[in-house]
Amino acid sequence: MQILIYDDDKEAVEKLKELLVNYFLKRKMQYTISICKDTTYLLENVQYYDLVFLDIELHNENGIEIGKKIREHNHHVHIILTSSYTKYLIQGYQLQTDRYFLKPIHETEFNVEFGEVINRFFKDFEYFFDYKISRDKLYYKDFLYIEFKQRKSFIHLRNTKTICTSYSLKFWETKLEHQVFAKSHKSFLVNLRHVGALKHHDILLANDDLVPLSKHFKKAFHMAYMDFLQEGY
Amino acid sequence: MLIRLLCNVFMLVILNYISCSFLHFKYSKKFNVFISFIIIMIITIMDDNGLSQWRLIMMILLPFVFYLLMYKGDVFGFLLAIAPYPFIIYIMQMSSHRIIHMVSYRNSTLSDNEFLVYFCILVTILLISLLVSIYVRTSKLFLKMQVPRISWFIILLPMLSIWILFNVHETFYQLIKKDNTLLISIIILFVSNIIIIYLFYNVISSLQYKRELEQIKNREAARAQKYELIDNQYSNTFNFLHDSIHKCCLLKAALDQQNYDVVETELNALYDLTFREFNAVYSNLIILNYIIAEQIDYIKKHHITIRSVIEYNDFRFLSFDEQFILFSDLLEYTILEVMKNKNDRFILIKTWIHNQQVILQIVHSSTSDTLLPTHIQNSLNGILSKHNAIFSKKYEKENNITKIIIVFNDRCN
Repeated sequence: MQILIYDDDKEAVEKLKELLVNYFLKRKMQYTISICKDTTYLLENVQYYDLVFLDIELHNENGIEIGKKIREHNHHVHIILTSSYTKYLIQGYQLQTDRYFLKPIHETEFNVEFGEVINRFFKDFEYFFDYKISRDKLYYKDFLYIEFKQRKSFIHLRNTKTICTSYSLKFWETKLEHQVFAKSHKSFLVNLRHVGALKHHDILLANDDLVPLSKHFKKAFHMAYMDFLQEGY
Repeated sequence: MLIRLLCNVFMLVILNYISCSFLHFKYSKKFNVFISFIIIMIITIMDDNGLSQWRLIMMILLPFVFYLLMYKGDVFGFLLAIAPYPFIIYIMQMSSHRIIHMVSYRNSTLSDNEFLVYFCILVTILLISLLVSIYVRTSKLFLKMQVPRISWFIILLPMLSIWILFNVHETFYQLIKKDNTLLISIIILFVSNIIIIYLFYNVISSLQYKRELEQIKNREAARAQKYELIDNQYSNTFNFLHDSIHKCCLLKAALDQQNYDVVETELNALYDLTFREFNAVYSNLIILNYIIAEQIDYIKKHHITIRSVIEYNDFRFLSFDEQFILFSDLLEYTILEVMKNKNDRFILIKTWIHNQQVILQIVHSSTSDTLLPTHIQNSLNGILSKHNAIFSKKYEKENNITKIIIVFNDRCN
C-alpha cells in the first residue's frame, strides 16, 4: 500500500508515521510511506498513491482546496484529512473524504478508523472474472443484488445493466462469503453497500429498486447489515 | 308585543354570548350593539305581524347575516356559533309552549293568566340559558383539550333527551295530570340528565387540570435543568479562565526570569489545554455541544478524550426532547463504561448518512461486553420504535472497544 503524508508540522508527521508503522507491523502488511513537501508534487504524483493523509492548515494553503484539486485529478485515491482544530475538520466534511482525524491523533481511534479504511480499500478491489459472462472484470462493489429465477442468476449492476449467468445462488453465496452481501430472500442476495432503507417487508436500494425481505431472512439480514455498518462503511 | 320583544332581546343576547365565545368582533362593541338593536327591531316587527313563509326564512337568515357581518374567525368557530341557533329557536318556541301547556293541564284556570305566561317564559329563558351555558363551557373545554370530534356526541345525547322531554305528544300531559308519580319521574329524568352533563363537565375539567399540572411540573423541571446547565457553563467558563490566568502568570514570571524552558513547557501545556477543551465542546451538532459542555468538568477531571465526527447534523426528524434523551443517555452510558478503563478513556461520536439512512455510531474504549442500563434501554426503545430505527452494540476484544450503532430508516417521515 502506497501512502503519502502532506503536513508541515514535523511532530505531527512523526506521530502519524509511528501510528502507521505500528498498525502495519502488527498486521504484517506491505506498505510504503512518503512525505510530501509541496502541493505541486502532490498534484502531479497523486495517482501513484493509494492513500493521502492531508493536513488542513498548510503554510499559506488550505488542505480542503488541495483536496478538491486531488479529486479533480484522481477520483480513486483515498483521502484522510487531519487538523488540530475541530472547526477546520467540520469544514472538511464537504470534501467527503474517508476519515477525519483530530491531532494529536489518539491511537485507539486511529487503529479502529484506519482499520476500517484499509478493510474497505481491499474489499473494493475484489472482483469476479468469467469471460463467458463478461469481457471486463466485475467488481463486487458494483453489484446491487443477485436474483435467482428460472435456474439462472441475474446480476443487477449499479450502471443499470443486468448480467445473466448460469451460476446458482449457492455459488454466489460461497463466492461472496467474505464480501458484504446478505440474503434477504431465498432468491435474492443483496450488496449491503447499496441498501437505502430497511422497510418492514422490503429493502429499498440506493437506485430506488425494491428487493423483498422475507420473514425467514429478516433477522439474519438485519444482523449482517448492522455488522457491515459497524465496520464504518 | 312586549313578550316578543323581550324574547327577541334575550335571543340576541344569547347569540352574542355564543358568538363571543368562539369568534372575534370585526368592529367596535358600540357598533355591534347598534346593529343588534336594529336586528331585534326588524325581527320583532316581522314577528308581530304574523309569520308568512318568506318572513320565517328571513327571520332564520337574519342572524346568520348578523354573524357574518359582525364577527371574524375560522370555519369551525362559525360552525360552533351558528349550529345551536336553530335548536335555540326551536327549543324556545316548543318549551315555552309546552311549559304553558303542562301548567295549564295541571291548573286549567291559570291558562289565561298573564303572570303565568311571564313565569313560563322566564322558566324557558332560564332553561335555555342553562343549556347554552353548558354548551359553551363544554365546547370551550373540548377545544382546549383537543378531544376527538366523536366526543362531541357525549354532550349531544343528554341534551337531545332533554329536548325530547319537552317535545312529547299532548296526550302525555293528560297522563301527567292524572298521575303525579309520572310527573316526578319526568322531573327526575330531566334533573338527572343535567347532573350527567355537569358531572361529565367536571370529569373533563379535572382531567384538564391534571394535564395542566403535569405541564407546569414539566416546565419547572425544564427550567431547573436550564438553570443547572447555565450554572455548569458558568463554572466551566470560570474554571477555564482561572486556569488560563494561572498559566499566564507562570508564563510571565518565567519570561521575567528569562527561563525559556519553563516558558516552552507552560506554553505547550496552555496550547494543549485550550485545544483539548475547545475541540471537546465543539462539534457540528448544537445539542451534542450542550451535553458535552455540561459534563466537561467531569470529562477533564477523569482524562476522558471525546471526539466527534458529525458529518450529518440534521436530526430534526427527532423532537428536541428525543435528541436530548438520545445523546445524553448514550453519553452517560459510554462515560460510565470508559471509566472502567484505567488508562485509555476514549469516546468517538460519529454521524453520517448512508444512502437514505441516518447513522449514529459511538465507539468507546471498554474492558468487557456489558448490557445497557434498564432506564437507558427503555428510553432508547421508545425512540427506536417510534422512528423505525435499529440498534446494535458490538464489543471488539482485540481492540478493547465497544461500537454502538443506531440506524434511522425514516428520517423523511
